Amino acid sequence: MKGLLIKDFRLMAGQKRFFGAAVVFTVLFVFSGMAEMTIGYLTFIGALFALGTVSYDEFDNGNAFLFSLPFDRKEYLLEKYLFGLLTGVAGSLLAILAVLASSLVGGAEYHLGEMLLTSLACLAVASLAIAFILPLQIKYGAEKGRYFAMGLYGILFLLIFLAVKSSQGSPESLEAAEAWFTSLDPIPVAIAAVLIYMTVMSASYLVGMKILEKKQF
Amino acid sequence: MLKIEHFIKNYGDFHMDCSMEVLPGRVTGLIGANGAGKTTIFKAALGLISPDGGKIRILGKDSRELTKEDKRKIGVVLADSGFSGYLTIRDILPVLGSMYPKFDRAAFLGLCRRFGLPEKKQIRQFSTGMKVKLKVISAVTHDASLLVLDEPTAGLDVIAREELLELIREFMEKKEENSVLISSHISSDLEGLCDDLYMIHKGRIILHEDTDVLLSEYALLKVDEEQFQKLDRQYLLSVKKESYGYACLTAQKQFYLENYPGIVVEKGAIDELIVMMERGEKL
Repeated sequence: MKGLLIKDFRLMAGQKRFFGAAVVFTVLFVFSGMAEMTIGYLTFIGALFALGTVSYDEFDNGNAFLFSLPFDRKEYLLEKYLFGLLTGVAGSLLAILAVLASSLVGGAEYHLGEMLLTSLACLAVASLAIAFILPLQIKYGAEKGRYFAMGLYGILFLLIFLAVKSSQGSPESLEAAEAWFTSLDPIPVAIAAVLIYMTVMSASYLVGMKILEKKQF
Repeated sequence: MLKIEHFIKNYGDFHMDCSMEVLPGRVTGLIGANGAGKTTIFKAALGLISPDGGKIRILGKDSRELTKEDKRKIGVVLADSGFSGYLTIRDILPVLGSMYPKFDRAAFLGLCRRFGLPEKKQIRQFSTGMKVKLKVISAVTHDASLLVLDEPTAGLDVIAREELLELIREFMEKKEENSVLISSHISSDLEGLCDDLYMIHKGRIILHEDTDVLLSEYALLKVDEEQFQKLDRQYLLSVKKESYGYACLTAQKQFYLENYPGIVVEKGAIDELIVMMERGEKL
């Protein structure tokens, strides 16, 4: 696991353009006063780099050699989730630091608690995105997996669109939905959210493992 | 070290069924034309592809049940695969160090310098030869006891090839039970290195012989039509029609030297053997 993590961090460190773009956008967001956007952006690109490493592993048929190294297939999959989590957390922390630093310079006030909650929400969404895409990438390869993921997002978007449309999309009904949601007891909601999250992550791992076990290099 | 018993793999029209063995302390060569199934054997031995039938045991275990500890005892070179091209030698140093407790960092770096491999350049910018050198260096510097080398000399010039073969010889000298399975399309590499050779053709092993026997007992007889008619054919393995008459492969060189002094008898060489076994007519 450690060796795989080192490999992926080294792969990440070699992506100078990726870091260059991240710095430019972060500065832009921070100085536009968009704290949530900064956190969301850095958390997502950090976490989703885990998916990028799958295509780096595949490059030039590299998987055959990679999987001859001393680790098992289960470790490979777990490492991708862990790497995504670590880089996502790192992205979040960097974003918070950048926002805090800008508040010292610019004087704008931010609430650390709110920023941490935003980070947590972004991390959860980013890891769920990894949970959906990673098994697809392993099954169909990085390129095709991406298209499948885009297709899935398309379907998801369509479902949400249809749901909103069927509720007439009126501000009243949206407000009513929001009111209903905020009226719920937060503790059971949080427990349900954690349970759904754990179920999705476990299902992703089990499906990913099944695919990886059958995979031929 | 490695025992393959009726390994079966089907890819469309290609049907593979082969058995072979790599014994401790031996260097075993695998020869055959492109597409004969060499890489399939290597990948199956390493558990990278699953067999449709048969048994593959490596280091005493089923190839699909290799643990991390088992894999640490195997040095691997695959012809069509290596470290991610986006990494540099500096990047793979800690990776190897972390994966192999007995990784010899000093030896690895020393060999990289000896072979002129740049430490900070991305591997995808390496020449084919440089990539192969890196693969072999990685395979021999973590105290493996079995090397599985698919085309480890491909794309190298004569001097680099000889240097890499020397590395393999040094590996064999380290421990008595160390073994190597190697494939190469350059027959001279195998002649000077291997204890025994397997020849694969269209997914089947068509010959297995000790290299010494192959080089001393096998011969190519070049005969004209008249000589061919008089020739005792019981020791001929295959015959191929040529412009001068017939080329005949035998594993009983001495018999023909003693009984047919007038015919041309050429010493056995792997290249001729491949051509004769694959294109010649079996008797």
